[in-house]
Amino acid sequence: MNRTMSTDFKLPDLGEGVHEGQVIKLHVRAGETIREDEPLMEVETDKAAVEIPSPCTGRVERVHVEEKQLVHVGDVMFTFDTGEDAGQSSTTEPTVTIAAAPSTPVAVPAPSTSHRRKAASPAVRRLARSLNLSLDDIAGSGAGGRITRADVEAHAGTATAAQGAGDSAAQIDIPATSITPVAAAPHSPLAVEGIEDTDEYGAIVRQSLSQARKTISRVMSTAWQTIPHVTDCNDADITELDCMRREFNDPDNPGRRLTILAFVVRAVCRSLQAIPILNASLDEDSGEVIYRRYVNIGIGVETERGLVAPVIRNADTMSVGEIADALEIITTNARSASFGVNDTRGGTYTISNAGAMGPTRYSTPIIQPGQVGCLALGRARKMPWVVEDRVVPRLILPLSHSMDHRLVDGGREIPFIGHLIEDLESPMRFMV
Amino acid sequence: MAEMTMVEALNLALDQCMDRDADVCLMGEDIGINGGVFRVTKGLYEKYGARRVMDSTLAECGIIGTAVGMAIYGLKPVTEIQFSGFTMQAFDQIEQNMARMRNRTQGRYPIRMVMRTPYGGGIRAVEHHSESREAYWAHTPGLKVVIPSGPRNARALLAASIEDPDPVVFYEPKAVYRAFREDVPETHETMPLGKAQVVRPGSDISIISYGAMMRVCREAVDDLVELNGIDVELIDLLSISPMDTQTLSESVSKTGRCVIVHEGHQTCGVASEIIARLNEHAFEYLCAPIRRVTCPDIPFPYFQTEKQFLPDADTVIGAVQETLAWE
Amino acid sequence: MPDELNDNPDPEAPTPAAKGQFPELKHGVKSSNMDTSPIEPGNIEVLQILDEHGQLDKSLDPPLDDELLVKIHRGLVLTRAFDHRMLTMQRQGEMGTFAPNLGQEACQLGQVIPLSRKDWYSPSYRSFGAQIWRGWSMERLLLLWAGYHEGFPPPAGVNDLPFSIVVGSHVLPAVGVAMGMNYKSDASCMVVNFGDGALSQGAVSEALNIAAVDAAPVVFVCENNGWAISTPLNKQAATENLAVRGLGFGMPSIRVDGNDILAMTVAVDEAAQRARVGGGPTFIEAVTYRMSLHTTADDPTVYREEELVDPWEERCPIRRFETYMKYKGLLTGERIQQIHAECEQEVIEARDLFRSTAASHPREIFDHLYEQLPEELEAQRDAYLRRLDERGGSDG
Repeated sequence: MNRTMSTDFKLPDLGEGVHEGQVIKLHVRAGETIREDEPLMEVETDKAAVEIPSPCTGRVERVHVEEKQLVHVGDVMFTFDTGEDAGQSSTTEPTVTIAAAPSTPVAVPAPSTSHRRKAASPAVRRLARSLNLSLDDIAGSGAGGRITRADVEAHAGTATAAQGAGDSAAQIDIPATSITPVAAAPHSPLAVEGIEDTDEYGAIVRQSLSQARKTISRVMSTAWQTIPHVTDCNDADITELDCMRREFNDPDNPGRRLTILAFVVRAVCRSLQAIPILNASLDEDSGEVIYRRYVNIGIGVETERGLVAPVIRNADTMSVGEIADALEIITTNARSASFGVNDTRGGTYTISNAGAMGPTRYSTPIIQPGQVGCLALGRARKMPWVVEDRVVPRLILPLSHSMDHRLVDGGREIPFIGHLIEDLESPMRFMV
Repeated sequence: MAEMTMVEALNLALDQCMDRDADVCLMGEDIGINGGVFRVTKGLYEKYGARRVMDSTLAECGIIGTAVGMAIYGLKPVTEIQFSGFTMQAFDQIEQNMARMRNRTQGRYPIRMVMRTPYGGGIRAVEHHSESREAYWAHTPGLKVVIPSGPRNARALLAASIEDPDPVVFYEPKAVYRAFREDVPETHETMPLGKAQVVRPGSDISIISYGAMMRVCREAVDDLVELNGIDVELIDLLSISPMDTQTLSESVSKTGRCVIVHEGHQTCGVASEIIARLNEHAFEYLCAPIRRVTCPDIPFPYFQTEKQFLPDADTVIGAVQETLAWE
Repeated sequence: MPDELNDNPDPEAPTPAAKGQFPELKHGVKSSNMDTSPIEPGNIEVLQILDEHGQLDKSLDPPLDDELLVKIHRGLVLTRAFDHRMLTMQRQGEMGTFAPNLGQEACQLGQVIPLSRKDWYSPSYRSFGAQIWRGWSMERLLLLWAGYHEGFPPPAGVNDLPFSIVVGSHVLPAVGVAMGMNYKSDASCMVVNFGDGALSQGAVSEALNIAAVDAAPVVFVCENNGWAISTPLNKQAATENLAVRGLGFGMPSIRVDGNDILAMTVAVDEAAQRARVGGGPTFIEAVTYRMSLHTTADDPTVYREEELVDPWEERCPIRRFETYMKYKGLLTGERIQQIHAECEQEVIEARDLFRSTAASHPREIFDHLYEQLPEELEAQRDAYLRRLDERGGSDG
């Protein structure tokens, strides 16, 4: 049985976060015996000079340090023989060595500025990944060359087309190397249901039109083909109107929200009364103009079934608040599809709140058969505007107004739109 | 159901919690016969007496420190600090004891207490009365941080906070205290802590906010929807800590765009944390950088300037439009 | 536990004699609308029963049970032996930083001897003698100072707060516990211990004021050991004594020889009895001396002359109590030596038990912060546990 048992004594952390110290005095030499808790050495750190008592009873096999030597926490100071021959054994565990992390800096390659990644949002990157496209192959059309969703989609289309061309390349003898090397993306993941088919350029999906879409299609064709459209693009500065709208709180009806659209409807009614030809209709068969004494405003609403235009009847007799209530009802009903065909009939003029659907500004609204004008509202936004020779931010509402040039000329249309803009820009006129 | 202001709704929650549990007691400056400087504790002194509605000495650190002791003893103190700007006096006790006593004692002394305090600007108050420093407490392990936005959720969340087994910092948006009324059920009602609420579902962009800024956001959303046709999803965070990461990341994974609105300062604010979480959980769905609408990193100015200092609906609309314009 | 003192409340017993002086209060304010008659200075008693030479003021000798006196002696010796062992273990690398309490043994034990199990105690970081008396095992205290969180919570059945680290931060919660006693009409009391340095903390002044205003059943024991690390008392306070502080807040205040275990026990007992029956708080300044280090990370030779410590060797609280015990015929010199050896052995056994049971539980650090771990912390815990697994980390 081996009666010797070596134990190293390492310098403990004597203070809080002390790393090193100087040996001031050694109380034992190699070969001497020492009892547990008898003084071993004195060490001075930058916090304190302390006497270190022996952690065990035994014979000092080796002293690893000298007086005045700089020692670090974790360095072995002494090796003891704590076997039975050397004295009573101790259960002292060697202290945990605190390994100093190497402070040599690891060489890091300098960041290269020559090659920056292509700019694209995470969502666009995800789309490209799902289409198995490399962003390196796509040109960015966004700000600073950023690749947009549209760029990826367009490229995916090109890639599909190019691939389709590639399939027939051998037949028409175009070298395969000239084909854009796009990773295989056999089908763009169209989230549409229908009959899978192919045309001469690649895979397609055939889907039947809904009944509603068929109706819209037919009406649009008729309107576009029979009515010579002229569209007047204009702007209304609605900064003040918007302020007034926000500050106004209807004491009789605190829950009511006055929307810009409600004011526009009101202003359109007033303008129609001033220029009644815009509220008329043309009867080519009889060769008559039919002026209406009533004003029924159709409001274009985007629904799941497509665009519909439910009508606010006798809108000219309503206050802005009443119009707001009517708008609330028709949009709710239209979106929940709880409206009937009759609700969309009898309109004399139509307003399309196109800006509600997205960032559109100007467009060509198509006139409903039986009417002579149609107004589209773009998305209002703050614009730099010249007011009294100073450029100031104003809230600008883009207006696109189509007229039936068979019945109306600029001589009537321009005063109409002028009246409308003046109303919107001087909201006090509503009150008087 | 009864129409109530937030002050009345909070009072109802306190009253019902005290009625249900004899260990619930109130501590704070001027909360007794005076009913609190905002009258949230009005009538409770008369109903429950000085033993349970304790007027404290003028020492915020003392209120929180002694409340911790009462909680150690087994009571459930609900403290009121008159303005959140004064909670800095109590920082010592919140950090040393309120937040960590349970952990220090390995569960031996849970701290069932609530620190109620009105926060935020907009009421023309003097200096140190308008701060929004909820981020401090969200940064402190061991606390829960709750901020209601209206009378009904204020009542339900306060009741839940009082019943919660952990210490809760309850920030009351004082600009909302009497701003509007809501139907509040008369019977006891709570809401789970740590859950956000989708106030308006939408598909174009997510707006995340809480507290008094929810009113500003609602106004902005009305405009964005009506005027610009932007289908905004509006989320009321309600609990700053723990934070409902799931609801936030689900929303932004759907919309791909996000604007976060709060009164607190920008750097290391709550929005910073939300962005970090969305980065972890919704990164690949992001179509645009997430924007923050916050107060600048400037001490809350004197009240003649507060209207300009606080974000308004136009600020939110601008941030939303910029985010949407990013392709 | 020593309920003997509590079982003998004698309202007719003479109050300890006043040996002190009145504090000098200046009253020069003149105002037409206030009472300008001189303000009566408060009365601060000074209590010493057993002086540094072992001389007994027989008129004040408390009628303590013999068995209790023997137990007190053993408690003093054990405290010193434990302190010495902890310092040795720290130097040998087995303990973290801790605050030795050499010379303050009587001061510490005296503040808890009169307490029953129903009473509460709030220790500071140098109070482990009192903690042992209250029922904390030595191995638990070793765990605590060796950096194991398992040493932190008070043992089951011991109404103690965890010891404070940030100086003075425990005094307000201690007052809060006492306010809870008032709330529940619980005829118990709280003894809270802090040092001369802590009195400079605003939170401690708030605590003294709140306790006085609310008549909370608290005994404030200010253990004036002369030093806050390197800052001597005269740089900490401009008053000659610290008891005047308690008086200023409107509570009975007394200055006690903190190295006289009899005086400490009597003073705390009287204050505790008053507190339990609605008499409100008491401020006790216990005058003692920090003969050793502030903590093991400190070297007092940097700022303190050794000669300042020498007189306190003479005032050793244990030696004078041993003189008293011999005088009482309760202990002999030989028996005293045996007790010292027994205490040393008891400490070694506690150390060995500590060594055989000490284990850290890094996987449990998330378990105690909230009653139910919030989801976001569950995710952090999972990541942390994975990190431990990847490191090959074990529970030990």
